[in-house]
Amino acid sequence: MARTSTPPREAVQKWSELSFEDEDSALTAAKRAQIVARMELRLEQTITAEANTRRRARVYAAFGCAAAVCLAAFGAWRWNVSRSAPLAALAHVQSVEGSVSVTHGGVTGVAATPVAPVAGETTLGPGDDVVTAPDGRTRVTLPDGVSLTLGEASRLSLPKSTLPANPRLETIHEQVSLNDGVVSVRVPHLTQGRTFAVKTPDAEVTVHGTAFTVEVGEFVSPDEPLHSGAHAADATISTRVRVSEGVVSVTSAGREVFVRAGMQWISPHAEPTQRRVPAPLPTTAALSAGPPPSALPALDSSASGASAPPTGPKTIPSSLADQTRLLESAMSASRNGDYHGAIGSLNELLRRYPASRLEPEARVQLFRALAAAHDAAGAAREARRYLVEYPEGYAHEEAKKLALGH
Amino acid sequence: MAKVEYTEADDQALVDAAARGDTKVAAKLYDRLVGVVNRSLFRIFGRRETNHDDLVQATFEQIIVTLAKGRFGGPCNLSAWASSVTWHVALKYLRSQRRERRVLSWGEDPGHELSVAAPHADVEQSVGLRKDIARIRAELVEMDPGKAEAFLLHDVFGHDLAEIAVLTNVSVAAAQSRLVRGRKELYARLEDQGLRALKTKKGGSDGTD
Repeated sequence: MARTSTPPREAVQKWSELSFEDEDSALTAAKRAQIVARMELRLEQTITAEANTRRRARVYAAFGCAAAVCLAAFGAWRWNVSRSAPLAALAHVQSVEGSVSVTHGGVTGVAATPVAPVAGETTLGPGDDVVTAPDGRTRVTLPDGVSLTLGEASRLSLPKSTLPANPRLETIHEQVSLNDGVVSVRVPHLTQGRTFAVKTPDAEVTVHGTAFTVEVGEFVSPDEPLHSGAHAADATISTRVRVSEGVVSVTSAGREVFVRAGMQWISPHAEPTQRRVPAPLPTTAALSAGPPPSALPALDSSASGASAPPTGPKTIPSSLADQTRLLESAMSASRNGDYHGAIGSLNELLRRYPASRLEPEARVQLFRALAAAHDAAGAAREARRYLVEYPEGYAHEEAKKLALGH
Repeated sequence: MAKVEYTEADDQALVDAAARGDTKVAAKLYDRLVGVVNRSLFRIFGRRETNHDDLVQATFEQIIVTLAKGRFGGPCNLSAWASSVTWHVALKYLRSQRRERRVLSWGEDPGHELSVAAPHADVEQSVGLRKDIARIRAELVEMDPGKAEAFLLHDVFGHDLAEIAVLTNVSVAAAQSRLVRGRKELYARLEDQGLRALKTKKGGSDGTD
């Protein structure tokens, strides 16, 4: 007999309406025992497996935490060790002449130990003091290549701080202190962010790749070196800086000035030059009218090379007296009507001392002398030069008239 | 055996005991759920399957393992959840049967007598219904499991959408979407199957006539 398929929805409807007879209870009892036993077994296995999984997870977590703590501790130790690597511990006394001693004890801050004499190459620590006797000289090299040549009767203190862990990432201001005497410094080109400075009782000399000499002592006269060693009770300690290469900045009494190669700087309170300029001359007015930025309380171009160890007064010949003499001579000649003689003296002054502080006054006197000598073209030329170099100079109106041919 | 009424509190106690690893809960769970599991298997297969006892045991093992791992399906009824587990076990069995190329011939197996007390006394009707259920079940096995499950739980087992959403761990809207798409796909499959059978029959008649 042929049968046609029930439509799908009707078949589903009939499927859902099917009912079933319960099984025979005698049979189900036997099956029950079997299935329950199996369930109990699987339950125990599952609980045991879950407990093992949790225990393993706890052990792994504990190991992970312990490893992380060990790693962190090791990293902190390494960081601490590298950070505490002392800067000056690697400094060396490379050569010694005469009597030189080193005072230890700066790191811990305890009182310095008795002075230990130095012979040959010696390693220095942070805060150590290097002291030379009147017959002693020595050379100290810092780990970054800075060379310090300490002259006679000098005292130099190494920095108490240490190098940072990663010097490339930080700004480092390395500083030694010169308490007395003279030190010649040669600084290699430092990486960006690093500076080196020499601190004296009244100034701080900061450099970045240069060579210079710093003196500390009692000022006597511009022609003599500063006296180091024993000072009188009322003595004024001064600093003199001479630059042989590059540029240094000198900070003193809250003011910063730059000293270039071939120039020197001396503490303002020790420089008597301004007081010594003769009163009749217009020099004082010229100076107060505003010296060039590089003009310092005492500045000339006669600095000697810094690489040579400082030796004594003969290394710094004074020039200011000669400059004053030439200017006075020129002005005296002008007053007497000897304009050509005045022009000669002024040209001699400007030729020999191109960076002299007396230059602006000399330029004024020169175009006046040329005008008086009826050299209009020469006067106009010198007046224009004066206007270019000193546009705010006190004689610029007079120079302007001469430059325009009036 | 007198029937025992179970409350939600009883169900929660059983679940907690299984999670603790209390082996005494196995017998209680069996007594609580054996009727549900049996009825679900009968309804899915439309008769007493040859491996019925194995399927019951596999279903209870799945139930006890899931409860021991603390993965009971949320705040749903334990009976409804057991019927869902039963469907998963049956589906796995059917797919293994299909892999062995026995599914299509299973409905025709004369050795499997229908042990159901169908309301249709007529033997021809009973056989016809059994064949129809076998066709539907074969298509359900081929379909996406999510859609097939939503269809079976709603249209065959009679669960509502909220219950299905909890059992299948989806939103009610997602359960409804699965149900609608499952129905559409199933009926389309059945109609295609009928058309194919009709064409085959027509082709055979033409050839013989």
